[in-house]
Amino acid sequence: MSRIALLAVLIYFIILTGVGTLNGTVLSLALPLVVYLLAGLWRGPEKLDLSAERILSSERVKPGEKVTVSLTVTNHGGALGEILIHDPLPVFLEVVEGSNDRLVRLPAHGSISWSYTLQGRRGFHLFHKLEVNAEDGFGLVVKRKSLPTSGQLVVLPPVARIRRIAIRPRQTRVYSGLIPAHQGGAGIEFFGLREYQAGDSPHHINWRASARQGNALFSNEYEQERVADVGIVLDGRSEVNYLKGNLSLFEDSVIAAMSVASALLSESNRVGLLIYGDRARWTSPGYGKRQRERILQSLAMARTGESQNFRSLFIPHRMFPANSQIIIISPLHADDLPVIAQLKVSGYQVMVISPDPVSFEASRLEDRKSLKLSARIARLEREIMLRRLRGFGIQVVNWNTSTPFEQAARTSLSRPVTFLRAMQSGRGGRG
Amino acid sequence: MQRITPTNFALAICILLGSGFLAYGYYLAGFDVFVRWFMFFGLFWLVALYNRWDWFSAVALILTVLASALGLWLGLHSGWMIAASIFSLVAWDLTEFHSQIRAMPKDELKGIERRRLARLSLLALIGLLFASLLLLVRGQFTLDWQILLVVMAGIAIVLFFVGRKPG
Repeated sequence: MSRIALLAVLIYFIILTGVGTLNGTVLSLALPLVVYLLAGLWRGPEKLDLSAERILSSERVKPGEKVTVSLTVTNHGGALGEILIHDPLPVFLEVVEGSNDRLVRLPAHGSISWSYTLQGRRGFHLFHKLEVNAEDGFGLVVKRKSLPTSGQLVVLPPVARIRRIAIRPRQTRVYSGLIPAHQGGAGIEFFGLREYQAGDSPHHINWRASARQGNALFSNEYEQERVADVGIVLDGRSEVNYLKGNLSLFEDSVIAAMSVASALLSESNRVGLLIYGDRARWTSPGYGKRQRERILQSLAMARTGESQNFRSLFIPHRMFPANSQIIIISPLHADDLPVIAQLKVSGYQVMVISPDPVSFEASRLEDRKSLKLSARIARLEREIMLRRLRGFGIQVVNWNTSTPFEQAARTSLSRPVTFLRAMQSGRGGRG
Repeated sequence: MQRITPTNFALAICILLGSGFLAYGYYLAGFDVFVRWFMFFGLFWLVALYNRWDWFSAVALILTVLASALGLWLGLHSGWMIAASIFSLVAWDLTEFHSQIRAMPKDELKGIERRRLARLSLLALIGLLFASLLLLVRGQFTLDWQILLVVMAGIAIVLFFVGRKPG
């Protein structure tokens, strides 16, 4: 019930009671209320003729970085007694200094400026309007107006610095890069031997092999290094990203996706991004800083969606030819295995980076024996699922999100998978 | 913990005066049971203010006006009943104002608070003058009422002139 209605009802009730009881003293009780009501109506606000302008100190920030919002409201009409100006904030943004509300008097053709500081979570935040409430002296008569203002703020996802991601797609592009191309030529890593050809550098002659053969010279051949096509698939399904208590792994997945994309682009690879939420959102493949920027913006706006499974996951060959590298970033669900295996069968070199939902949730569980047992069972089930994936020849990185992604990437992604397996088996042998 | 502002202070005083005058009016007529209830009601209103249950001020205003109307019908001292309604009305207004200014920066509030309090004190004074006229007619213009009137007039005049200062 509005304030004016409440007063009106009270006054009406007192008058009715006074008349009904034929008691003039009861009627006199209505007088202060009537005076209050009339005073409010008499000094009610005039027509609101206002305009507003918003300036943000920065439109692109990192998470946690502060942004100053400066607002100016100009009154083009008559003097306004008291107006409440409220700047509605997009969700996930919060004021850290100052206030987004202001209760002020505005003289005729006057203006007011103020600023406040905010910060927020990753995302694309749009500011639409300022809300203005003008009231009489007692707040009985209220006039509301929305003043259109523009403004947008992109809070970018954080990027973990990764020096190198060792991928070995079966097919590379023609340009030189850092990915081993399975072809002999100029490079650093030893690839094989071939008969000496005119023009070969004497430094490349393998004297030991040549001496064994007697009458022929052999040259060392090195593995060519080229750039590759890499498709990053970020799993944005709510079903797998949201856990009990509305906890989400999606932010971790976004950090992983951005870090991987950034590392691969810095090695001159051609990288594309697919965010698989409510529907597939592609950032078409490209090279260099401009592509990094495009991916950064796509990830800033990435949201989870309601897709239930990976069934509609389709990677167009035009974008990513068979034998190129696909990196899937997903907490994974047992039902996803056939689809991921199918990608491998189609010829893609597949890597899965999986933020571990079991450790994530287990670290937040109460210290109860039954819960610990359930966590252990869940961990075993997940381990079986990951082993099955590895059995398909897919490289799987099980990332415990309590450790920073840089660290996980350094231990699991910086060397070729064969090297890592050899290291693990060596360690096992010694143990 | 709420910070003490002029609005907070005035609000608490108005709540105490509103329920106090109601209790005093009923006490003068010998309704001792009601007195305890009204005092308890005033305390609960203060608790509601502390806990920011702003909705309670509307309920409290309705209850005070009803209790005042009942008192007037029973023939209790009109001045105290009307004064209770006036202070409850001011408390109800200040509660709304208080909820509005809660999130505002402290430095810009002084002038706004001063003006609002000045307006409300003037309104309360006008209400009390009406009540005084009524008391004169009914021959109930007692000494304690005169003291209240003089005190309120003093406060209202001071607040009115302070509220007119620019800022």
